[in-house]
Amino acid sequence: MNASASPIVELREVSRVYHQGEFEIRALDGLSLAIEAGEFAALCGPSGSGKTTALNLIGALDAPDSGTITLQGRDIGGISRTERSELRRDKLGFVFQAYNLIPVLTAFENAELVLMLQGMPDKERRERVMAVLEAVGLGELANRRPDELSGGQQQRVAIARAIATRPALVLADEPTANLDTATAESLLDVMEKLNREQGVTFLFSTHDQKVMDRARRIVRLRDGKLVADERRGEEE
Amino acid sequence: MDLVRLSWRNLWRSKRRTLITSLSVAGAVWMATTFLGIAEWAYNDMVGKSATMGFGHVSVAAPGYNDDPSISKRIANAESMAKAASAARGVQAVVPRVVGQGLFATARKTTGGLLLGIDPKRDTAERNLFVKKLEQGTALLGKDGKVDDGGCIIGARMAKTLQLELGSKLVWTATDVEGEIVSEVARVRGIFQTGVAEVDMGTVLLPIDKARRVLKLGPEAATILAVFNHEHRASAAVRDAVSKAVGPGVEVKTWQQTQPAMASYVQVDRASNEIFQLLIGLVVAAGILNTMLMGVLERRRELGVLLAIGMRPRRLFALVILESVWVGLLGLVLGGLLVLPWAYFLYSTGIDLSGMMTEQLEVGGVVFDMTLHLRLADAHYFVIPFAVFCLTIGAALYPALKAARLEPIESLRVLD
Repeated sequence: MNASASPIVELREVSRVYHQGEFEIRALDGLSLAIEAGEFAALCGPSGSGKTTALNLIGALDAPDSGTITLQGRDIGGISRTERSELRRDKLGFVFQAYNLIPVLTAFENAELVLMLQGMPDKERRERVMAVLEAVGLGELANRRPDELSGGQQQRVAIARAIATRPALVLADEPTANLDTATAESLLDVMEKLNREQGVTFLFSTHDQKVMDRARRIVRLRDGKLVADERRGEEE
Repeated sequence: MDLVRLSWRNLWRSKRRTLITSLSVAGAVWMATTFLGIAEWAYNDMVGKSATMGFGHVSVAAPGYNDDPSISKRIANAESMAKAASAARGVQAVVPRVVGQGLFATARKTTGGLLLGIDPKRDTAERNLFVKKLEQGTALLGKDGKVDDGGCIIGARMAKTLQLELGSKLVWTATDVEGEIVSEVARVRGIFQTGVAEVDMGTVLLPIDKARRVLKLGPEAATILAVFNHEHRASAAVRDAVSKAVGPGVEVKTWQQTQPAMASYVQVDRASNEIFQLLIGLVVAAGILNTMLMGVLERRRELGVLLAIGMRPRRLFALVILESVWVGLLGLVLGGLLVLPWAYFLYSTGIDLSGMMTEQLEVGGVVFDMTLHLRLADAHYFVIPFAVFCLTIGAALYPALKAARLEPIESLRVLD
């Protein structure tokens, strides 16, 4: 994919401060960053560097104390709870470290959940879900519930759920943290393939070297500030 | 995967908890059906007995008769009016009656009481408690089906006091419409026992045509038209229909108006029963609230995920409400399964409490039947499920609101 398109998401001088008793924790401190369509990028840094906070802000799960965040040109800083829900539903995909599948639903049903929330007609939804489950290599296991799947398979379902809506951006928070090396590599293969073949834009929050090795852009954070922004890959 | 199915599956994550909560709802359904049904049966039994003793569920009388009963205040065209009233909506039967005061004597003793002129063909056991409670003899009808014009029916206590038996002569004396004292002899053809001492001592039934003739009321006259309908609750509507059918010039009243003491008893008893049911409902609601709240708190992370991936808060609210509705529906079904055989038993056999009672219970001149049965009013078939529905939704409001107000970012931090 070409990484020179207009930004999907843009952060300008974004700060987020948490208060714990008398203490003030500046999780993000004037961060400016733009993620463009087709990127396979990783936010890296030690614990407490602000990478998860940045991901939460981009994912409209949290709101900044100052600065602006625009998603496809729309300022998402001051929108209502319901608007944020709709934005997450329609524009974003989420992959969590702990998979976070709904345990009473099968792989198929988990993957179709967001499409159901969007109100997509049954037939189209079924076709779409089967296609994404095939894409992540789980076509045969569509009727299994999460407790009948391995960790890697569950994370693949989570990816299927995240990409089923064809979101502008998939946010993946430490997606390989709970997986062994082989499974993590296999999962990264899946995401890389989706990025290359279907143009899905991924933004990771990670300190896993395997993810950093695959990412074509590494954004390094420390104490809530951007300390390095490295691009690499076939375009270079 | 729609919300309805998702909520159903969520219900079975904690099978034991769901079953226990549903069983508590079922218990409430069982209790509501039992208590409301027995009370309804008792009201219907009392009002029915009272109706068959004189006034019907709805009565038609000449103006002023109810305030100051007198045979001079009569309906001259009672038979044609009865025919008109029979056609009114909700009316099952209309029975003309002559009600007056009389003296009843034998060679040895005399006593006073109520003189009741009945039509033996229409005043069947179903419509007349005295006929139903006949212990000896017949109901003024001969074997050929003809009315026994010279017969009478008396109470067991009167028979004992006046030393009367079947075939004995009784002289009855009354004042006719012209104010003249008239006397007639009747032979005892039947002896009834209602269990109410005053009634069994002071009531004599005569053929209505005989009473009309002797009291010079007129060939079609009656002091009252007793109108019967299928249940006591419907009396107000039947009164309106009858009133319209018979036209002006008469007073049409419900049993509540003619039997105010009984109406007050029913009203107070019904209110206290409903308060009791409400308290049971609140206890069950607390159980549902606890179940739903635990379900929400235990699933905070998962509910946070649903919000994070784009479920709108109001949809999450609906999800929790739906889960509660399922509990309510399940409780209704289980309650129905519990109630059906029990209700059938109460309906058909009943519970005999007479062995526990040293004295009979009497309300408003009617003896309470000590074998408890069950009878549900039409309204109960709607009210009980509706109350369960409101209960389950009401109890789930707080947990549902709590779920809808979850902040996904905080919920996602909750460890499994």
